[in-house]
Amino acid sequence: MLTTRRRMLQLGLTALAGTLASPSVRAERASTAPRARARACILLFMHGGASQLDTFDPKPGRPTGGPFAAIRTALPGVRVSEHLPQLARRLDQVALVRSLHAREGNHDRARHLMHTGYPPQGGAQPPALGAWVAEAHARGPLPGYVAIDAPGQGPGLLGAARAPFVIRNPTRPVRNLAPRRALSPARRDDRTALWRTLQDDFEDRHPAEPVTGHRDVVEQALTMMASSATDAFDLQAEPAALRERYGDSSFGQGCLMARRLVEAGVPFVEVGLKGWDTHADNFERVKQLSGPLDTGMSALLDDLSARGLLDETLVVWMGDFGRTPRINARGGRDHYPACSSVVLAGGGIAGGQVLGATDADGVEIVDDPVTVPDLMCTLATALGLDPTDTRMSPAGRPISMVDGGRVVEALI
Amino acid sequence: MRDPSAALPPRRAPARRLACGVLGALAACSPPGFDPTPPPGPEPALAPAEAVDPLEAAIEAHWQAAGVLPTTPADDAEFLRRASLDLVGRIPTPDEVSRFVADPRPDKRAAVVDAWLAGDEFAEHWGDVLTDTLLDGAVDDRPRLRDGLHTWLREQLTQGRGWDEVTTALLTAEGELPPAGPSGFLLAHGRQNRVEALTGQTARVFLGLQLQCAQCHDDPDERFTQAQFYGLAAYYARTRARFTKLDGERVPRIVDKPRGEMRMPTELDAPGDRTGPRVDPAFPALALPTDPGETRRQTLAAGVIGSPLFAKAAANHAWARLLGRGIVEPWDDLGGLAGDDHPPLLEHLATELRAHDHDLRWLLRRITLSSAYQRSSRGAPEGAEARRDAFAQAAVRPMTSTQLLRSMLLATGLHDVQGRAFRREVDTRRQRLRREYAQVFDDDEMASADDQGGNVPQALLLLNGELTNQGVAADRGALTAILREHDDPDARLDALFIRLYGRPLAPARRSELRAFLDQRDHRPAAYADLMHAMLVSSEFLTLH
Repeated sequence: MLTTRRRMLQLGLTALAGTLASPSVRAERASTAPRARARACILLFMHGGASQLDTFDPKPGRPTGGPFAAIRTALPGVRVSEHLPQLARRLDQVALVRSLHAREGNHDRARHLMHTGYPPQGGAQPPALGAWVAEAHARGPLPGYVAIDAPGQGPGLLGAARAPFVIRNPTRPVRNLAPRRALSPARRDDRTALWRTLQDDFEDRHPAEPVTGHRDVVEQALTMMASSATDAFDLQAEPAALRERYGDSSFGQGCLMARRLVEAGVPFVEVGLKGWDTHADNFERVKQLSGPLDTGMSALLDDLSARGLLDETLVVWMGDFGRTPRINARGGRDHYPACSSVVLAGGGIAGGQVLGATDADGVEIVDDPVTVPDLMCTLATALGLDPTDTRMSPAGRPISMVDGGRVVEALI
Repeated sequence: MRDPSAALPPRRAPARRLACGVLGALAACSPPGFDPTPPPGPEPALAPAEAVDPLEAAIEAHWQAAGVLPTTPADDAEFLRRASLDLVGRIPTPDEVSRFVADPRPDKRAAVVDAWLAGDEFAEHWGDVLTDTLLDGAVDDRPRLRDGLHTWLREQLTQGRGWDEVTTALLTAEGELPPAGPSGFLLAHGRQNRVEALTGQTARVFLGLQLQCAQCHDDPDERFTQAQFYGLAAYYARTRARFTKLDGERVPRIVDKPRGEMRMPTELDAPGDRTGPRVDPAFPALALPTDPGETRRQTLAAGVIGSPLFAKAAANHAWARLLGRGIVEPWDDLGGLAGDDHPPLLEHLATELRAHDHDLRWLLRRITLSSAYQRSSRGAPEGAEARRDAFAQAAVRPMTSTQLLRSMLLATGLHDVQGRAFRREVDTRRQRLRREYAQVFDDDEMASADDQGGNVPQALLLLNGELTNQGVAADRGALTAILREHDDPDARLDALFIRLYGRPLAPARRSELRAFLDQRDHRPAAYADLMHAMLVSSEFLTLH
């Protein structure tokens, strides 16, 4: 299998992606291209930047380690925070990267970097990975990129049709999917027919992007409203016992909705967990956040696995950046892009391994440093996308979809 | 305006004018502009006027240089709707439309622009526009800060303060955040000692320079060096924007220290740290006064407003807001420090702006009454993009969320429905609606420069949101009034079109819509459905 992979690489990923882009050959390719097993991705994004030292890269007993104990996991010799007991039992299913290195220490800039692989820079508009996956794999009436309790990131040069569809609260009905007072089907049809007449009339006189673009998104919205696929947004349809297993948190329920959406054909779902910007009182707050994370993410892995979806669904856990080994005067940890941890599972990822390491105090990476473009190359490849794909920006400048980097072979 | 007597250069008379009267007569004498078939092609420019206005000459030269012929001039209804949205942030009222179209005066366009510029609605709307521009990309734009800045800007506009005076006040503001005051700019960008963000925004908003890349490295296009970036940042080296306790409350406050120097960051510095060599305040684009100010920020303000780039950035910004794109595009990227390679049209407009004491109302009047602003948005499909890029054909622009909300309330009549209880409900809802529209429509993350068609959440909000649905059903709303006032279905259609689209219904479309209403027995629900479709259509949702 390794030989096949290598040869694929030599043949050039561009050619591979060219054929993958066509759905008719995608299934056939899947058998010969194990790298591109994932057809969907669930991104669990830790807003504010989770402390790697108090979750997946503990340093017990060191001055930088903090008060948490480190517990044994399903991987011999690997320990994680005592507040992640359920994930610890499932660590043999995941690939834990302890050596992500970046330089962006500002939240907005780091979030841009982690979603697109590029630091923000004037003019260039690299798309979020979610928008890119949506473009490649979206099908059916639902949006291709859904962000739950998270803002997601813009589609950049891929255009508004790939923008994240934001769900603010997974436990409540999606906003504006239907009018508050129900309308008879006959009147709904009347409105649509009248709108098309008026829209066509104006478009004839004003053929311009804002007009055709508006027509397209309204048609998209109308298709979505008329489709039963939107049932995927309704968590009430799930058995109470399963809902409970995901935990009584917005994050947990968001994870459940992510699974439903992936089942319904949505190729990219982002679920946010906010509150990790722990400049003060780091340990109490990380403990509080670890509960919903541990329960929600564990239930997601189990549920995907039980339904046979884990193999084709790439699950990614990451956030803005890591946090400082130094514990500040307020018992907090500050921004530390130099070292952070990322967890990958499913979707053809080689699970049951730890890649990379930080030194005894978690100050520096000592083994296998991974850059954000490296990570993006790897995720893109796992999802059947070509990291060297280059597009034209609106300003006519070529932009590579990933900012350099290399595929981390050990992970796939 | 500070100098109301300042004579404007003579302007060409609009080529086409309606001489018809009341609302009912509108449909009968609809101008050629309302013909649904596209005009045959670009028409030659207007006949030369007796005295050539230098701005008009510059516009014509701009068209020639781009190799395009302008479209026909905008007709009265087209002009009124566009200018109303641009100057007062809403569609024109039915009353304004009928009065304007019936007005026989040759200078009625100037008259209506002047009337709007003198009113509160203008100050409110342009207070919003300027607040958005100043706070774009801010680290902190909490409502209190935004409101304080907006209220202050509104006052400055009402009093006709020049942009130079406004800028000086913004850059030299001191003390805590007042309910109305200029400190919002510094507080929004400079909080948490973020001097880099503040430096980048200062260069962008007031000088039209994209300096921020030079924060980390010399600009790849060799326009700016990192040392120049920190030279500009050094003007803020002694300024702190932070929260302090005042009477037990945490209040944002700008404090100047007597000492403090700027240092460059080194390769090894963690983000936010600067341990490199000291940099003195200096920036090549500034026109520094001979007597430095008392504080570094005073020197900076004097240097900014004296810079040749200052008036250019202001003129380019206003032009971009009113015509959809800057003379240099994007408006806040005027290029390098040389500042002498801009299109003559921008050079000219900036020179005039300086001569008129940087008066923003003068600038907006000058642009809206120019022949570039007054082009029709319709033209042959061939070459449309080139014409739009050269301002020879009016652009089609999506409304901003505030323009949209105000226009929705006006179109549906929800803004002035009778009955205290209902009005109170509208007022409380207004805040919530404003938030929802702002959230769904103004999220920059969701927008992209090459796709202005909106997105699915926006479409869902328009199709199914409270405002559109209650607006067409409201007991005391605009539709009820129209149905009560008119018995004749044609008159009802005319009134709907004037109210929502600011124009009469084109004869070619009437039979189609009549047939629909006839089939539905003229039930109020049928009119409501038509109105709903109109509110969600591009003709309502764009400036054109």
